Amino acid sequence: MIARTRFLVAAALLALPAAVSAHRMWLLPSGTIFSGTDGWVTVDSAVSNDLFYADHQPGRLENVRVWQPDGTPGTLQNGATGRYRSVFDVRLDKPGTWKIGSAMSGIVGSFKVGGVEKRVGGRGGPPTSAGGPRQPPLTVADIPADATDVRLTETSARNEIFVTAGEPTRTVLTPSGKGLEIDYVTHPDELVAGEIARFRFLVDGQPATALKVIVVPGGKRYRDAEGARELTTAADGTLAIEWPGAGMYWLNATLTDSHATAPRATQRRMSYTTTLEVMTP
Amino acid sequence: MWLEPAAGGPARTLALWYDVKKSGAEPGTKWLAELRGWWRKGGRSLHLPADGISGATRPPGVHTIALPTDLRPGAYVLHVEAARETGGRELVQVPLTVPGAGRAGGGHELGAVTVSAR
Repeated sequence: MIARTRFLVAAALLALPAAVSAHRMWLLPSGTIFSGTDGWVTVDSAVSNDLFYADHQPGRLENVRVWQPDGTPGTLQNGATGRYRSVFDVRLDKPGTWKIGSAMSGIVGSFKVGGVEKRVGGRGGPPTSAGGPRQPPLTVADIPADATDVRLTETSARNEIFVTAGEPTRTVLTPSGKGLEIDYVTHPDELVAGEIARFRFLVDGQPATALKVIVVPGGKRYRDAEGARELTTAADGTLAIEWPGAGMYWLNATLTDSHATAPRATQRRMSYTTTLEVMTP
Repeated sequence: MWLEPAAGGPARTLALWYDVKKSGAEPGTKWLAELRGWWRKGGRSLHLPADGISGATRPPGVHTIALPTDLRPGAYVLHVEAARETGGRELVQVPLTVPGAGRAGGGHELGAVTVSAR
């Protein structure tokens, strides 16, 4: 017998889908703590939403730099870029803490000429013919004298990781005093589940007060909740983070202010990203 | 959203909401395997878009959809699964005897789920 009655299902959706894709850049080292000076670290670099699954775009290797424990430049080896992920190795042949990462800066914005809006920076313009190459992005130098509504934002993005051979050292942790960065009160390679780590966030060397910092654990595919925490720095720029468990964590902070230094830019947007490995107690 | 006979048997997909119109290098179908329960229970063999099943993602709120009219009396479990980019994933299961009604609640991604015969 076939039931002829009508049935209804009512279900409530609670959360908004991610409105704009909040794509996350990440560097994922194979480890952060090594013994001896004959070890290698291999690093994945990608841009994706779920951490740490390379399913969107590979990271760009041309901007990645290596700092040896004494602060001098090191060598990136065996770099390769696949469809979704770039990979490279660093030979950790000196004891101490190494820094690996990129610092990118640029100018984005818009201006109007004769009422037509043009964009500066970013991905450039659409191809002039179907299937052709995209037009290169406009630069500040391309802004004509009669342009109006010039709105430019200076951008800078740091993405760096720290790996240690033997005893941790601090030379590569020294803040530069420029842009958004972390003064690692707790060494980034001495993080333990259940212990509190203290990081001091700085803008141009001054405390970044009430800065929002997002901390997301890796392994998203194997749990239901995203598990992201949004934390806020104290008046002196410090943040006390307790790690609920061991594993890799992605940390990001973004700050916009009006202290642009580039000509004609009226604001600047800075971001700091790192991947931290938290060990079992 | 799918129905399974309580005693076991083939699952029947009732509704699937995703970015149906998105094509190109990352079409909306790319992320369907993130509905992990549904994918295993038949999502992976469904030809998409499926008439009367596929639809655009809906905003937060209460949504009402009709159950198939040819549903035979018996015991079922209604499954409602949601997965969100940079968000969580949740599966709510509602035991249901046809004809009859059922109710269950979600936690972080899904709210109340009610099923009823009118």
